[in-house]
Amino acid sequence: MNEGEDIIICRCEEVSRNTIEDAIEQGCDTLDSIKRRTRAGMGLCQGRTCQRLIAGLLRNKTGKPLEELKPPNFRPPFRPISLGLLAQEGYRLRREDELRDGGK
Amino acid sequence: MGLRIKYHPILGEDLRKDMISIEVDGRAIPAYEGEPIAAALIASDIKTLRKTKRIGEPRSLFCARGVCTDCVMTVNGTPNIRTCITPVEKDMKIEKQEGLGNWGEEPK
Amino acid sequence: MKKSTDVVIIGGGIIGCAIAYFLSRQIKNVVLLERRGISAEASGANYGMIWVQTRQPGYDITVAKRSLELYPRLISEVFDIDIEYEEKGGMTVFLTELERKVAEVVLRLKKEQGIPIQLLDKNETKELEPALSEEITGSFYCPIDTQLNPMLTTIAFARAAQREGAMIYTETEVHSIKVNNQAVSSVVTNRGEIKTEVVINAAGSWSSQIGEMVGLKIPVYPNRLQSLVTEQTPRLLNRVIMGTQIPKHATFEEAMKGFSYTRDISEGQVSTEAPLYKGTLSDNSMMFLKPTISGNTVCGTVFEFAGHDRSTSYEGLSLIASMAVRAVPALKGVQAIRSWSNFDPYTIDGMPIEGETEIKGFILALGHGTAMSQGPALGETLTEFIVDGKPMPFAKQTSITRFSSLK
Repeated sequence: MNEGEDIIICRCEEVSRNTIEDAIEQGCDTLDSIKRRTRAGMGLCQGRTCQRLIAGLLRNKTGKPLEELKPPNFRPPFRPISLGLLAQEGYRLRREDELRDGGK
Repeated sequence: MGLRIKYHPILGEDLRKDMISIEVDGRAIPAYEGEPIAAALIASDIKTLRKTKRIGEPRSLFCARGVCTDCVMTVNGTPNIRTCITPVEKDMKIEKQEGLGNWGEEPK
Repeated sequence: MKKSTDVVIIGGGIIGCAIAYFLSRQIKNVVLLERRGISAEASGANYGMIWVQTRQPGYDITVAKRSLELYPRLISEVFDIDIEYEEKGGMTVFLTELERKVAEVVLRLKKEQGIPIQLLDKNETKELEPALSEEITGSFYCPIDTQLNPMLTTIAFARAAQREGAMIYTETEVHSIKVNNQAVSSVVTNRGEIKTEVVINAAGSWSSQIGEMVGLKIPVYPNRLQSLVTEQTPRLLNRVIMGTQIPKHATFEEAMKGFSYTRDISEGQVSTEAPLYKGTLSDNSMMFLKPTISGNTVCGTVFEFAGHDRSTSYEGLSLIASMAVRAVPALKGVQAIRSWSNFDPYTIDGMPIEGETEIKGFILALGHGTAMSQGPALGETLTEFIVDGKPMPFAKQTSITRFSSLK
């Protein structure tokens, strides 16, 4: 791979290698801070594709070993889930409360 | 049909016979019911599955296992469907997704 | 890391970064210490509302309006990144007839308080927001309310502070604060010790831990909020939408309370001990829907006291989804791809805690429940206080001494 060529690292948010390296040069020295500054890792795949590449860039630029590079917080949902499906439980909880209040 | 594997060293011979028709951007293409949508498209030489939001770059299969979301297309009106893991169904309408896609009034 | 400095600010959220910016324009040696990263906590996980319509008279409205004046200026003259500032107004939607009736009363109150608010009927509301459900009965609309990207705004302040000479150290945790004869003398961190005579405690919901380091009891508690983030779609909403979540069988008085944006805490908890909300999680939910420039819709929220437990729950996220889908039916087919939790710094009376303490040099700047719209104004007034000795406006209401009877 050519050294000077800019390539897309975060495919979902279309964040290039140069953008990420600029962020590192401006002080972003963790995976989390790079994500916040550049949006790399905020897309549809939530960093599954780019995170290890960014860790490599960070290691190359700062010398920090990979084991020290903590990933951003892990959060549900594990896979995308439609709000309509997720809402079913919410409706049930609300109905419970309404029955309780209505019976006051 | 050039890219379909007719004989696989482990899985053996492809014994599927009956093909159905699905619509891709208004064009009818043959597919096996139940196979991943992307497999049917690539077998018909449709490699560009979508264009990205910011720079309009064409995307195709990348991880091919439901993780990277590069292969998403609009299926039966719903955008962001991962075609590498979504099975073909009868009368499916598939559209190349431009950026975020078209979100109709009544989503599925 | 620096060995000595004039001011140490503890906390890299909007409060700390806004103060760092305004202060470093006047003072040479300002150091900001952040335990994780800039905007890694509440400042990076809220709805970015610079709203006036929900504010209480006095400090609250004054500070919100001042921040509204400051943002456009900061954007055109100071910030070097786009903070996604949008002047679209703000809307509180009603889903029942009761809310709409109560709104008529509340409307008069708010107008008297100097809030330029309009009461819209169902048609007017849907004209402004076509994606809203048929169940909507009306709304409050305040045309001067604005919204922004809170994470980028905090980062923008931090960058501006650095350009003015402030030193920002992230991944730097404060372990202790040395006090000599009731005066601050240094701050000890995981990266070394910094001599300083002024420490500004802007540590949000962790401010009480910082206070303990100097033997000060600070009654601020972590109020956990959860949020859901959707995949990117073409814009469904034009502006941030809020709900009132008044229970179906509420009385008129209970409904009025729903407009005061305060929550009931359990009996026996009205002290400086950690509070607990009354009722179920569903009772303590309130709808927020924030459309973003990137196309994701941020949906909120539920309120809980759970210490500093960062987890989100199926109960919480499903309640948030049900509120979102009820108000905007098109969201049914939109997928959630991420959840957030954050800790709002809660104080018993809803007012922040600002200003001097009995420890010389230890200054408080914490407890801001709507920090995005309080930070800029506080940066200004606290700088004038530290540099020129000018008393902070509303000092009596925000001073920590107001809690002395509760101890």
